[in-house]
Amino acid sequence: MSKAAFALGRRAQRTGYPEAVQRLKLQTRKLLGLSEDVTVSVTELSCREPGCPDVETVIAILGQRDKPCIARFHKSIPDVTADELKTAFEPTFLSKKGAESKDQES
Amino acid sequence: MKFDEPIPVTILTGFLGAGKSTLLNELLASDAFADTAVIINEFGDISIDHDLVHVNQRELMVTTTGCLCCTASSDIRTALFELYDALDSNAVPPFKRVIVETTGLADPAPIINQITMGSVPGAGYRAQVVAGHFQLSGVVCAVDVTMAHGTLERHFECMKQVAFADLIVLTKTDINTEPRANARPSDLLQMLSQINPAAAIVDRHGTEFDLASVFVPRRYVPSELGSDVEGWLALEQALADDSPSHDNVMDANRHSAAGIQSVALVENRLVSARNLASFVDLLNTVAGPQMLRLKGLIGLEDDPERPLVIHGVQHVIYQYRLPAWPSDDRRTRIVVITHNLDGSVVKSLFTAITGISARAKARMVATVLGLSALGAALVAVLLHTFHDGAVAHLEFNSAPAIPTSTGTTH
Repeated sequence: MSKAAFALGRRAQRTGYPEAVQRLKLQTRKLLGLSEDVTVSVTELSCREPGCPDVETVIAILGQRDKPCIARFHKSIPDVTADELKTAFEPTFLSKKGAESKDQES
Repeated sequence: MKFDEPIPVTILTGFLGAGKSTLLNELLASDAFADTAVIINEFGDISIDHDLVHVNQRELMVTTTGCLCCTASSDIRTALFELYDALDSNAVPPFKRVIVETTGLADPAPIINQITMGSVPGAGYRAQVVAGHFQLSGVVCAVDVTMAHGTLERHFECMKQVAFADLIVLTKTDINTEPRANARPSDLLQMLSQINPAAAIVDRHGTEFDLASVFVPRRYVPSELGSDVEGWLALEQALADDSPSHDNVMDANRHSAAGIQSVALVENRLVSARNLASFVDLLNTVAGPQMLRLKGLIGLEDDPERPLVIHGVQHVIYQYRLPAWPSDDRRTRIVVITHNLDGSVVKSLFTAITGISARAKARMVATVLGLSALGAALVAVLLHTFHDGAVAHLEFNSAPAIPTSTGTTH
């Protein structure tokens, strides 16, 4: 039966959303040293519009005053790795932090 | 026109097959819930749910296809504005409340934002009208206890639906299922509480269950549901602001690329019960857990006046007959929602199994048998002719090539 099913287009299921969401939030917090008053939001979007990515995980850092810092990953939530978080967030977030500290000094 | 009080809006959500329409039907049967406007959203190209929800004369129903959270033309704000407009022009009788039944694949975040975000600076006219005349007064999430563990693990939408609810209704608790190690009721309650510690949880089949109280208007405060909910609403708004190409509504369809497809099957002819059973059995075998939902209204050959309603939630199928067709549309309509299963497979199965009526099939079999008999007769005639010819040929050739000497001498 399984052979027939695969021939007809079945694929493996993705699993573990509740755990994966918590994992990504914790990893983001740890990676960027975020305080408790900063919200990390993880969501997953899909789209079939031409030119849009198909499945997309969006992680946003929502501070009290700042514009949200958003990273997008073209894969589902359980598939996003810690290395990908680092690659996506560190340059943007650290440059933003750097600009903020310069502003404070001046 | 200005209402004395904002009209309360309750969102009824829950994953595919969780029992939302059943709850709604029961509610609308109650006199206390007359004067209710119902907005039903369906995922797919054809609508069936509006035929399966019984709305009395004192109730008003608006249906949309597509996804409330995705499609600009069917968004909740537009539906509510149209209700306001109809009320304002006395095109519809007054109503006291609105219940929105979402598709089972809905993300509640954009729906809630569309109801509540009209008061922010820069909001458009429709948004302001909706925010000024309607008030979000509860999010009810139906959770099918027989499927919830797997669904929460595999579908992000389901997790968000639970997280946004201020009241969770456990459904199908009266169905006996084989206990699995990871599916004990206490495990499910723990899982739900981890996702949403603030929501009250009630058992649909509990002795103290009161459906009317589930839909009583109340204060819905997202911040009381935890930082996840607040974060999702803020993120949704940030993304919507960032996506003008999508008419300020996030994506045209968030589901298809995640492997979720809605397949619409429409048949004008009556279907035989045997063919339908074969189709459902084969679909279950082929799709397994990839079939998320099947729902249909089917005209059967044995009793065309009493259509069959069929519901499938993953591998569980149940069905019942209606006393009559609920509307003038008497076509057989089936919607199959699949996950990572090619929709053309479902269509091909349906066409192959049910596309031919029993009568046509009998005619086809008779024709085939007739042609077979004709062919056999033709072969027999040919053989007979060949045999006669062969015998004649043999007889003709039976003369020796070299004439045998008869002893005649010249």
